[in-house]
Amino acid sequence: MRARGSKKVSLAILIIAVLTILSACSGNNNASTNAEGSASQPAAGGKKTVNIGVTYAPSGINPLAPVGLVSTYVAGLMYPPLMEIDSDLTYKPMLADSIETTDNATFTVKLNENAKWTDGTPVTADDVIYTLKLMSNPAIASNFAYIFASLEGLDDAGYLPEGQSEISGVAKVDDHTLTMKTKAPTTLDIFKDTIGRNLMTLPQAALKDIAPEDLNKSDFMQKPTVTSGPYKLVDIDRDHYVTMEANKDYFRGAPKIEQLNFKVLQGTAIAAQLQSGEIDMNIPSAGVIPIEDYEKVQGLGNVTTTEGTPLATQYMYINEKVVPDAKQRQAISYAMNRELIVEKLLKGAGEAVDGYFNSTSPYLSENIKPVGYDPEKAKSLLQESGWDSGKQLTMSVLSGDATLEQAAQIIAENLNAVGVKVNIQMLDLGTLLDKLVRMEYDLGILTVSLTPINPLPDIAYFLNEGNPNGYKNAEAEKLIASIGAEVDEAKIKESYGKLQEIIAQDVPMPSIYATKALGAVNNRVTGATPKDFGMFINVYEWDIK
Amino acid sequence: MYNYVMRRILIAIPVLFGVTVINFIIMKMAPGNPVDMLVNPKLPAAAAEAKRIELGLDAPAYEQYWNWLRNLVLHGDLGYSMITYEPVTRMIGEKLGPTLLLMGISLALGLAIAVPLGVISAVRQYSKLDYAVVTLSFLGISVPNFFLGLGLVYIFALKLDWLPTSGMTELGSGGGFADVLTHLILPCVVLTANVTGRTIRYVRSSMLEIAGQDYLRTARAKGLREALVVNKHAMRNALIPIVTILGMEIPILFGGAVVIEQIFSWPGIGQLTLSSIMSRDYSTIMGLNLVAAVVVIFANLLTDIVYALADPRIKHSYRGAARS
Repeated sequence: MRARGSKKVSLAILIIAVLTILSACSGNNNASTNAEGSASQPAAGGKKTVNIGVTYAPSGINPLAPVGLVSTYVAGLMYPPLMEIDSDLTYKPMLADSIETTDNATFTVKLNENAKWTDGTPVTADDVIYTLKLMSNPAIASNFAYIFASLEGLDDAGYLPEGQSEISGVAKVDDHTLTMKTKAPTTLDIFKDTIGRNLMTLPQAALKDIAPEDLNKSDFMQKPTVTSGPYKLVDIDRDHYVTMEANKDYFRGAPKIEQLNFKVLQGTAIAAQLQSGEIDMNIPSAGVIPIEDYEKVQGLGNVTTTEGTPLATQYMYINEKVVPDAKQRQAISYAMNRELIVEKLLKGAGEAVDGYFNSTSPYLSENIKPVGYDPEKAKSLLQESGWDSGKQLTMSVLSGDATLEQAAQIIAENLNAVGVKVNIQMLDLGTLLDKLVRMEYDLGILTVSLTPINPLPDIAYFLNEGNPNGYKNAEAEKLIASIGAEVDEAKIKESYGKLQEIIAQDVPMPSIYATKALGAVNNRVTGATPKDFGMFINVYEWDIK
Repeated sequence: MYNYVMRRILIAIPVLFGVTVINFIIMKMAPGNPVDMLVNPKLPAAAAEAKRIELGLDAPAYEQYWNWLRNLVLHGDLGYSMITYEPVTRMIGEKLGPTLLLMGISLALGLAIAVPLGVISAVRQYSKLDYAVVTLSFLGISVPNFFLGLGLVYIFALKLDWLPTSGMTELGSGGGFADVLTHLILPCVVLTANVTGRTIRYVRSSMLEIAGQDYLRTARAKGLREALVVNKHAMRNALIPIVTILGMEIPILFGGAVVIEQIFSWPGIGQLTLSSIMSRDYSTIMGLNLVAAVVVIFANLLTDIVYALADPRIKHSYRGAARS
């Protein structure tokens, strides 16, 4: 009897202990409800806060070599590029007020005279030149250096030749003006697209004591302290978040949103967090909402959605050692039921594509008919080319994208149906890239995004010698060289048209579909539009209702 | 005892060395490398080579390993991340805290719940309570972490809006005890459910085994109170095997953290591990692997020491071994 009594006592103590823990928890639950509740109005602590959901980690925010899309956005908010491309594919002034040329070879860059570093000193032409020298320094080994290779005085990889300390093509005119000379004439748009968009000017005074070879690893590049853009970095946790606060002295106007945060999420979490108000918006191509969630997000009462430009495109890499005949590659392209994928899998949020250009490109040729789904034609082409129907091909597909995985199933079925035996192999990006670069694959499907304004560097990579398909065509190479040297837009378009005819014939690397990424923004935020180009140009004007 | 511990620590050194060598070889054999991942394929060959030199990847593999090992032994330096250029020691240091916090609390809570429930359930075998506890523990083991996690997020974060869905603090709020606690609840519940489920079954069966022992009958025959019999004579002996389970639990939790941290965006080493593997960040992978190996070895060592303390018979055998 006594024993039972003491057991009851210990049980009672246990229950009391558990209840205490639970009540402590629920006490805090209430606290969090309040915090959450007020966050949907001006945020906790009375600060105006906007949270942006992204699905890619800001892995490296060093403005000389940002790693990935989100890093580029974060770096650009701290160090505005000279120009930024907007959604209408025009260039808006950022750090530079204007970039002009009279001869398509010497470009005059005028910096905004009010641009100031956060330590109060002005941003000058010297800072720009200093940054260019860092960019072209092989000790820093920036993976963006090649973009600047068109400048006079730099080698083909964009590096300053050994023993030289000055870039001969770059000259200071006055504190806020400089000129840049290119090796060969180029169009103003291409200049803006390459050098204008990719040079994020760094503060010379703050960095001059750090040796270039130590710069990447320096604390400054981990958490920059002297910046010039609309937002300053507060904290970064690469796999989880970036917190930024407004730079009240930003030269285009003090941002109204006091705190801007990037939250790294799984794509599947975006819809839920948009609904709960934990995030206010996404970046369409960098905060990718899975297509299954499109309807849900579009149905949310508190957000406005935008349809993105078809940018992220799935390409089929074809190893020409395995599929040597152009007719066989044409057959593969005809066999794919692109319309079905767009209609059923993408639910219309995308478009069927077959080459390097899609509807957003100003260079899409009207003379070339898009490849339709035609399995009969594919069969007869295969027969003509003498395809060995016993040959088994492996199709290596990028893993992690549910839509792409399903699309790959459809494509494999399509190909098997016309007599190309295919089995699917899912690979992570690192492994897939390795296979493609070494040409140790048969067929491969990978997502590639080409820039619409200046697709030449990408196209040159895919068609010139050393491409991962093993494709070779002298005429195409000649056309590519001629486009690079041309400054007349009409002639450039003509050459791209001819190139598309060759591509349609040879089918070195057919594309399959391009996704229109969905953007969503909470209605409490004004002035912000989620879009892939130019989303942050007007970030200082964003506000909360 | 001291000799024994020292010897165990000395043995750990070649084990750790072996672990890093094997890890390095497997990592190097995996397709892909940080330069391919970091740069876009359009990069001219000269630029890719410059990057390789900058990262020290141009040296032969054995030399890369030797450099890594030398820096570690001489300077305690794990190098720099090949993607972010952040010192690996700092990266791991920042992430280890949240992981240990989550694991520690879950483990402590799990034990605090499992031990009394397991004991009660054994003492009242075949009672309704026993069936309830066994069923619950079965649920705890068999419901997958990710399922329970997503379910809880759906109910408590989305439907009821009581708790945040993810993260460790509200962004920009600077943290604070209450903030961290509210973020901690959901991931902690998931891990605790798992730990509890596994441990209850061990405690229960271990108690049942002891229950039939002669010395318990003797204790009862002496007229001892049932509470004393259970708490002192039975439980103390029953808990000895639980110590072993605990040692095994720590590495399991360490591995399980990868999934849980992914679901709840918990800023711990789980996510760091995953992202560094995906981006082939060699130096970070090496560092994380070393930390994981140290944790496992340390947990084992701790288990053995506690075991020796708890069970006098083992202490004696150690003494014997140390002398020989």
